[in-house]
Amino acid sequence: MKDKCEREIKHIRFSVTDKCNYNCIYCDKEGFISKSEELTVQEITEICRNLAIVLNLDKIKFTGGEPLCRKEIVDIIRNVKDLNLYLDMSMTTNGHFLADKAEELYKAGLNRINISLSSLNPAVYKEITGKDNLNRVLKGIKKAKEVGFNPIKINFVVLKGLNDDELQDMISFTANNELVLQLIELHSRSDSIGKHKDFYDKSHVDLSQITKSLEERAIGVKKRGNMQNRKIIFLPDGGIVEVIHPGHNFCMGCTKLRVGCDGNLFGCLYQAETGKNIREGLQNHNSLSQFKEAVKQVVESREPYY
Amino acid sequence: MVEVLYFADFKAITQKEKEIFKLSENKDLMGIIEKLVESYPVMEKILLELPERSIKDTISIAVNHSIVKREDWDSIKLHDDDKIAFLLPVSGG
Repeated sequence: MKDKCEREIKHIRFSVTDKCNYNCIYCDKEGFISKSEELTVQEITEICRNLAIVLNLDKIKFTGGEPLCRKEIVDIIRNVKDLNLYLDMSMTTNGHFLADKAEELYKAGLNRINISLSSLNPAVYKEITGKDNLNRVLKGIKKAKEVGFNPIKINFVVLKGLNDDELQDMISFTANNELVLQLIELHSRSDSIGKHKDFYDKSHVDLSQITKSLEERAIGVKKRGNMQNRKIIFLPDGGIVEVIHPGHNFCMGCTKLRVGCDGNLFGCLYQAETGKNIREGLQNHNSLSQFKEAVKQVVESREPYY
Repeated sequence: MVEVLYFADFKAITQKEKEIFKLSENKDLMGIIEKLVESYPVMEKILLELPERSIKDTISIAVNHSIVKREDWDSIKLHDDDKIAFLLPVSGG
């Protein structure tokens, strides 16, 4: 299913909870504040099934809040895996519970994982996340690797005056541990969760210059047409760096739909308010055709934010 | 002799960052791939479409820090001290 900009929907980003045990200063809360209770495990499974059928897609990422704060997360993964409709199942996590959960998640069918790692300095990590847990997360990353997750990506949101001096350390860390580094440029938050312009102005770093200097020493640079036109840079020390730099080009390569933990389906981080709740139709007799109609309306409403 | 630089899965397979290989008689890319596969058989299915044994479309190949266009893969000639990297697709968001 394509939107009016001819962008085919290929990925689902599914929030399973809005609870989180961290308080990261840059968090965009997946662009929404939930308006009703969390979807049940059964509802999540059914929505995933319907989305795969209606959109003919096979890629899903589970997010939150913090998805590992959802106590039934392993059941959710297993249920969705058992639909036999999804080939690529991934998750974004703060890594706090990962050392304990990694093996179960992998066995349940999750195959990729992205871990937010804001700093390699414990004091800076605490300042950014609100938690003095860097070592715990590093153990989680190690465990994820041991149990077989591949690739493992490290999400590093670049913040001026906080962690922007750690770039080379992060590149070395990820290169030495066979991880992919995702450099994420801070974006402004959506109206849905309340904009914090002061924070953005204080902390934003434009990644264009950093990208340019990485490209100058790269062995090769690829562009990911199916993933927001992201650049992926291969460095001489074996590092792999993916850059997430918001802009029109980025938006024009976006192939995602988002599901909030209350069942709100929306087409962009900034468009939660114009989404449609797809939980409501699940019990109806002709649920799949109604479901498809709701999805179609959301897809048709998609517009590039930049 | 040429140097092959390893990334991601290749680094995990070889446990090395790079390795030296002797050039084949044809001094071509396929010659290097054959040597890689001989040393690390698991790389065969990562690099090549089977059974036809053509290099997969999803792979990018860099020689001396420049990506080689697909249409030049068969014709490019390698030289001593060249550095080659096979850039495997990185999946997902």
